[in-house]
Amino acid sequence: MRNRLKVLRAERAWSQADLAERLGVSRQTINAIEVEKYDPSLPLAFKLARIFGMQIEAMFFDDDASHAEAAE
Amino acid sequence: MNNTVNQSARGKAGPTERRRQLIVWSIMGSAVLLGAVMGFLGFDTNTTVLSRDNPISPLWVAGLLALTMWASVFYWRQIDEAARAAHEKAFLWGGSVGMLVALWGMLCASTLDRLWPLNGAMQRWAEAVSWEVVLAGGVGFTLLSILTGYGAAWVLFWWRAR
Repeated sequence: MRNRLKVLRAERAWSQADLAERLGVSRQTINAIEVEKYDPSLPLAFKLARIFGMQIEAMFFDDDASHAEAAE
Repeated sequence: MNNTVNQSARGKAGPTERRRQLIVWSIMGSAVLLGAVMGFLGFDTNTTVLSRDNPISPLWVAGLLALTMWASVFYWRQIDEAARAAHEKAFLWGGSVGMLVALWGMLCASTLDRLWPLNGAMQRWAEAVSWEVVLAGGVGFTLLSILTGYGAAWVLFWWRAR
């Protein structure tokens, strides 16, 4: 599953460690999500969405969906 | 729902938490070391507390297993979901492939022993040692295969996610 986590994090000038601490996970987990090698659980995805003030669908989208569609 | 996001993985652990982590890691490391030492000594001399001649061996082993289980549960609760996923994938893929390798090795040892490159070496070795040694060798080979597969899959998970 693709995601915009890296971009969103960069927009807020947060390091991976900053975001990890806010979420209560390890920095390695944030990195694994950002490089799209690990899909977070629903609870973690909801927590991410809350932290960034967005809908989950605006952060995560499947391989078939375009970035633009997901952002709408 | 919130339990999935591990609280203890958040930020830096306090002194108490660090002390508990140290204890748990010490238990797990000691169990592995003790098992290796006892296994090796028992394998050679059969004189250790874990030898079959010692009537309290089952109690030792049961206690050690219970302690290791507690440490494993504690460790599992400490790690976050990606770390758990790494272990689950390692168990599923690495462990399964390791078991297949062990199965293949045992089939080779038992049925293909006469073919190159074994040329009867396994059979000669089995005849030269006691049945306990043959059994221990089989168990050791199986464990080593599974652990190697598990370790390789775990490393691969984090290498791909680096």
